[in-house]
Amino acid sequence: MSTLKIGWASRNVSTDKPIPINGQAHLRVSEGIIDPLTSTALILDDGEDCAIFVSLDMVSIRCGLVDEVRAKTKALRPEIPVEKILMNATHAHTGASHYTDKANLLVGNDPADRVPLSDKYPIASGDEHRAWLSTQMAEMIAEAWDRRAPGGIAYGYGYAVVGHSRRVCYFDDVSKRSDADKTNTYAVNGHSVMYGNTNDDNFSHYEAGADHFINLLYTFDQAGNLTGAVVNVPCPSQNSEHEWKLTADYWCDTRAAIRKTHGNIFILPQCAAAGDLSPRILHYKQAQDRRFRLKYGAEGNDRSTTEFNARKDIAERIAVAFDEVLSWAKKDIRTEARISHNVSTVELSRYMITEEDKAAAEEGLAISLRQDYATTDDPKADLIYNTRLVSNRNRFQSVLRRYEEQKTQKKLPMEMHVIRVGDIAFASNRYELFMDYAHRIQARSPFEQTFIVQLCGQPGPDTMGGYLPTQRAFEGRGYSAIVYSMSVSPEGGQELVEETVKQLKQLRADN
Amino acid sequence: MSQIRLGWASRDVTTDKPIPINGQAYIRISEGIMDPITSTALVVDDGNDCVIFVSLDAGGIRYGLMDEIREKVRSLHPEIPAEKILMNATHSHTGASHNTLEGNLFRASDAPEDRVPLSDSYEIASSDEYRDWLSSTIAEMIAEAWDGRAPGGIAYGYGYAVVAHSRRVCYFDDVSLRGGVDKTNTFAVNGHSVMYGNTNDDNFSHYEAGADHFINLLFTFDGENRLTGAIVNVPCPSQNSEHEWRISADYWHDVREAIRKKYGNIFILTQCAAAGDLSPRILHYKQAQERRFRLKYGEGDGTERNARKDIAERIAVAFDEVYSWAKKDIRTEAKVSHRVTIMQIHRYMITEEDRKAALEGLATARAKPFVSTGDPKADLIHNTKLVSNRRRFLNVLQRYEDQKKTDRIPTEIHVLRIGDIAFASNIFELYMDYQHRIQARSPFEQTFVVQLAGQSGNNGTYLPTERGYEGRGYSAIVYSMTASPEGGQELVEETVRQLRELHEEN
Repeated sequence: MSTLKIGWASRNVSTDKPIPINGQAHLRVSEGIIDPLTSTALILDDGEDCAIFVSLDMVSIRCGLVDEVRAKTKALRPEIPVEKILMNATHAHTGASHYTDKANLLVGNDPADRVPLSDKYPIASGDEHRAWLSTQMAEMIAEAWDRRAPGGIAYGYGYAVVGHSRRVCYFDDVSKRSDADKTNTYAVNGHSVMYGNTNDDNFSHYEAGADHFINLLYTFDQAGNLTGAVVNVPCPSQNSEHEWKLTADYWCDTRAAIRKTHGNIFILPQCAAAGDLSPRILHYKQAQDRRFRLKYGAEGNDRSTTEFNARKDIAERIAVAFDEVLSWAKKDIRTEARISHNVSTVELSRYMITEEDKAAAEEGLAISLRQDYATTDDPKADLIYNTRLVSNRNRFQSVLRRYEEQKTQKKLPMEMHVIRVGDIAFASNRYELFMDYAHRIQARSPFEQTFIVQLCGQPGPDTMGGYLPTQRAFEGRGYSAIVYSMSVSPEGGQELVEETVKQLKQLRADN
Repeated sequence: MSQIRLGWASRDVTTDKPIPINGQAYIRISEGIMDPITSTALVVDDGNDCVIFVSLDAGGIRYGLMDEIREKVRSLHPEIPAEKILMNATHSHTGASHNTLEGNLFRASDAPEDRVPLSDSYEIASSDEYRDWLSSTIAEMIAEAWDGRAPGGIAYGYGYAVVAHSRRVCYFDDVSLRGGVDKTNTFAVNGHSVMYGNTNDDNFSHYEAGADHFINLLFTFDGENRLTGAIVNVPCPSQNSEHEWRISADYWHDVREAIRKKYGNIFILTQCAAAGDLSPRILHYKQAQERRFRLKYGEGDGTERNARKDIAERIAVAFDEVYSWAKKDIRTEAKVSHRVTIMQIHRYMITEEDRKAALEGLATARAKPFVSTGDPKADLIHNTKLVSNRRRFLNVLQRYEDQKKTDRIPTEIHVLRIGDIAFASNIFELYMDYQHRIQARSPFEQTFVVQLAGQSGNNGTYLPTERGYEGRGYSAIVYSMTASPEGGQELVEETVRQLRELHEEN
């Protein structure tokens, strides 16, 4: 082992343009900035191998961003092993879109693929933003690379209540209730409903509970000063998911809370496996309203206010855990640690579209194609309506496309990073991975701690990632565990687990 | 509404005698005191109705303790509505036993062959005598709290504290079909689920239901708004030290110390919410935890002692956090409305297969002799384990007969309102999902669920959910449960019904 070299950099990647915002069933267009979006890079280098962690305040990483960042980084610094860039999205539903304008339904050869636009409602280009963003991120990575200097790491885990189960299970199959909406591709429910109402006579249980472990990796300079931390939490940052302004969501509040005590250190947020989790409670809402009213003095329990208070609350708990873990982890600062970074492509079993799925998609598509775009005097309302329409249509088309693809391709490739940093490890995936999979990996991992990182960007052409539900979730159905939400089957999820564990064991066995 | 009156009292109920300790499959005999065990009482009275909360550092409330206490309270103070005593056990596995001889596994039945031979050289104090003393002490404590009622205020809130973790580990396969499985063990009748199962297993699938990290708090104040005490309600049994042979309040001792360090010698009444499927220990990340404890606490204290300190720190942090804003809303008036009901809920019906297995098991267990090796402690462990096993089979056979007369079992429930919050008790080690059903449907701002509450006779056993029952494993098998999941839902429905009625009262 040789001395660790550590390099940090970050960039404010906000824009004040009317950029599309991804994350809902319809497009939003930014009306301003609530708080800045950030990308952060951390390089750990033991002289033989390295890890280049990159985090982005964004719902997901798509449309070639990883390739562009890698290419531009390579152009700037040919010596950087760009395949070792592990880039995760925090899942903020209020990021600035880097998707193609085509993916954002704003351009297309076929009028059916693009929504009518109004001159009175300007929308900035996601393609242009991506070009700018990838340059920013490449320069950031190059800066972190250039700044690599001897330092130390320390690590530990603690507890912070951030995520809660968002899969609500009922005694009955709710799709059979008389008021069930059978046309909604988001609410194809069974016994389970995402964000289901728990004040229901048939409410049975939360599907899997939540995970309140927090994994932390701290970095120090040679003088022993804290310079930054990787903060890994099993919860997507989507409290503010309905806002029409840019925000890093609870990570903004968390950065502020941590920096209040520790100064302007770098903070690299990672979301662990949290496909079935969210930062909001689904019972005790009256109690929460009161809690926020008394604690934060907020009047009103409208959604926006509640969520802003929830963000502060979450940030406080993460900051408390940060301090608690640091208080003892800093007793064990390591200036040497073996780094071994496997980047591989794993093939995971698809969810196989059934004949029933296909028939439903064909029917749904036919209905959807008969629906006209709205063109009223309200371009914003039109945008919502029309992008929802096209989004719905695209979901059916995706099913039909997958039906064809699966005739020749039973598996889907995924770039996976399994990284050893001394006695701890990181293991990535591209999905909104259900929590149970993380527990299987962590329980069987030979490392002291295993940081799971979900929603990691993929190279190559845009393909569907989606949620990766467990078998018990798939049986319950509900958004996130249905054909429209998932590309890989629970069998594929377990293949991910097995391959990850295999690599972890191999890395551990290496000297 | 009229002014609330509050009365507190507590008692140290420790004994330095070699008292039996309950909680394992065999009897332990106390070899000393690790830390004191406490009983605490809080009376909340609005002039029209009242609640008498009592908490006890013990595994359960059994063998007529509740009846004795109520009777003694009535003798001391006839005006005290003794039925309004809502007494819970914290589930500490290191309490001093108040069981009968039979309860303490010294005999499986009245048959001579079911009596454990005891050695004169190994002194064992009488738990019957201890129960007599305990019930008098608790009755006097309640009378003191009653007499001490004075105008005051309450404040409340909820926060978050990671205390418990799921203890039900689920596998892809039915582990009872694996090679090397002990099919005679009445504690490990597993299926796809195993209590405290090993998660470092290629077939580990998931934790059955996760855990609950909400903490509910009720603070009390005197007439000058000084904090006098609190109810601390946490969904986690206090059993970190469950293998110790010394008396201990378990993590509640550390919690009391942590809170009192800041707030002085206030009263702390400890309640365990629904936690039948939860425990205060993690089942993965154990290497990480060992390292955490080593760096944080140094060498020497052992995992469970460190876990207790860790838990206490998190509860104390949550206490402070909730107190910081809850105290802005101190209420000196709150309607108290308290219903005590004996429900009849559906039993778990012993099947012919269960009965056959019990008959077989009993015959096998009876064929095993008691030992007498010259090491009385080792003999006691062996022999009481044997008796425990026999009793479990006898219990199944008795229940098989009982169910011919009725398919229900009685359960005392308390559903009470204090202003805009409520408390709902049950006698079981209730699985967590039931609590969520109650809390989600309750019209009150907060609903404190209290498990292992005492009733006439004995408190209950585990009450698993349907998914728990399907997975099997200790706590969700015939030997662990007396009520069925259907009965569990009846408990939920009746509790919710009463909560709604109470909420509508003016």
